[in-house]
Amino acid sequence: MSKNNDQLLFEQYKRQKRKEKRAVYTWQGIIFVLFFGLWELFSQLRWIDPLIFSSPSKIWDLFLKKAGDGSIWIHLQITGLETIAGFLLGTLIGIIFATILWWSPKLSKILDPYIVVLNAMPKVALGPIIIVALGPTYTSIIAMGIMVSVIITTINVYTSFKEVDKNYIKVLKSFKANRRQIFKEAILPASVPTMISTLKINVGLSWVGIIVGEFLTSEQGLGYLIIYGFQVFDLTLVLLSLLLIAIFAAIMYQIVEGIERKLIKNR
Amino acid sequence: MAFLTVKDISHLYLSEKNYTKALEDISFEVKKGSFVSLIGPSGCGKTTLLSIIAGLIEPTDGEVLLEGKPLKTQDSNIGYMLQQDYLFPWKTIIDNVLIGPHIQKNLTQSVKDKAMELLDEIGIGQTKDSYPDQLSGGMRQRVALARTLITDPKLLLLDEPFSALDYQTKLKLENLILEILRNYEQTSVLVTHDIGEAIAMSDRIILLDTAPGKIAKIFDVPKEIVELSPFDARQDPVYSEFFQTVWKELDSLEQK
Ligand SMILES: Nc1ncnc2c1ncn2[C@@H]1O[C@H](COP(=O)(O)OP(=O)(O)O)[C@@H](O)[C@H]1O
Ligand SMILES: [Mg+2]
Repeated sequence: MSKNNDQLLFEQYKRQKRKEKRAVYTWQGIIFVLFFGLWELFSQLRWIDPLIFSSPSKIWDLFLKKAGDGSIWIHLQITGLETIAGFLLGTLIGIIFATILWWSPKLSKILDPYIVVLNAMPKVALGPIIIVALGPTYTSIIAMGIMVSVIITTINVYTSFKEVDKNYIKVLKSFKANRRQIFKEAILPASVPTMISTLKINVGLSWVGIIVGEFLTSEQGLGYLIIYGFQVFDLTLVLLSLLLIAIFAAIMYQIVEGIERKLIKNR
Repeated sequence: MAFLTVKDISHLYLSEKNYTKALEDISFEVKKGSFVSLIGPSGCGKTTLLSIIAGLIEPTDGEVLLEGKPLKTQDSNIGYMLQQDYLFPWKTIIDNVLIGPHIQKNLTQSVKDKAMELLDEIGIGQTKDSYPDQLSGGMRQRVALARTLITDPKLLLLDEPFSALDYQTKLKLENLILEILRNYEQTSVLVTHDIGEAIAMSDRIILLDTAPGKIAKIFDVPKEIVELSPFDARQDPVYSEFFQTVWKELDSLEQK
């Protein structure tokens, strides 16, 4: 009798939760439809200037055209690869820097003010110098992607290295662990969550670096399309590129979250 | 010859703004196979003293001898158990137990078998593939004990290992640990602020005074209760009498 009752309560609870979830999805859908619907409508009614704000249907037509002749894929592929490279290298180099700082407390004290300055500086402002130094190539653009993320990664990861509970180190030292072993057994694994959240931040940051890099140089890529569209006053093209960036940035973010779930499961 | 000799240990914590004298002229000896407790008010330097004996902190003054030889000159194997278990959450229970041999590059099959035996002996063999957060506080502290014992330490140092546990779990663990330690004829030093625990577990109690930490008094635990298990000891009439003696002494230190 009471068991049946429990079961009933459980079913009720599940139904309630499902209902709440459905409501959230419904609202998300409504906002989406409303946004693009009103955009289209206002543009058709000329309440907003279609030359500037274009319209979803025009963007979609342009997308179909560019997808049909294949030209959009080249741009997408190039920007995508640059971003992934910038993002992975930025994170990796940042972690390596953090490791070096952890290894040598003296070095980290000496470098501290320089790191603060570098972090405060708007990294994209270094773009012209990088392009002159490395040439107007993919290397420069990827270097931009690395630059915007590497310092903040270094700072975040190094901070988390330092914040690992000293008692873990005490445990390892009682077994006569050397510095390398302490790093490998305690410092690094304890900082995995920080590294992953840094990874998430870097998804966004490296897009900034890459797009600005493409603004400055390059004849291909979504950043190039934006600048080109701007120069020939084809704002449909600009908006199409923007939407593509939004979609791919979101996909990258989802992938990182998937990795996070996989890694965090075991802790 | 004493197994462990602590000789004229003083320790000063230095920082740019000030300094703290944590310990002053601490000297005592521990016989092989015996169990000594250090008790004293919070902040009197118990953890510091234990860290010095473990060789994790270099004392400002004095020296620690193990079997007559200074700590530094030997590759001494000293086990250290902390107040909290500090199990690595990303490692399974068995991998946590094997961290010492892993670090000492001594991960042989016989060591692995021994780890399993130890886990079985302390009653948590079935959890070997779990992760620490799936275990209760008492179970985790047992794992920490197994991790400490797996390397066959010559000397076992315990820094308030039961203080984070509830009373019942603590009584059970005291019994279990003391039984194991007696089986292995383990020499041990326990830090605690629980007088009852010190009496129930040890043969000798060293009472530390605070600021700076120095030895206030050394008690030998009455023979009647030394032989008993901690649980039985707590039931013995001699226990409560002795408890009063130690308590008065500790209380007079804390009054100051
Ligand atoms: N790393 C440290 N740096 C500076 N002072 C410390 C440090 N560790 C402990 N102390 C000081 O030394 C004294 C003794 O500390 P501790 O050994 O932890 O005492 P207990 O374990 O008996 O509570 C305290 O006054 C504490 O503030
Ligand atoms: Mg302490």
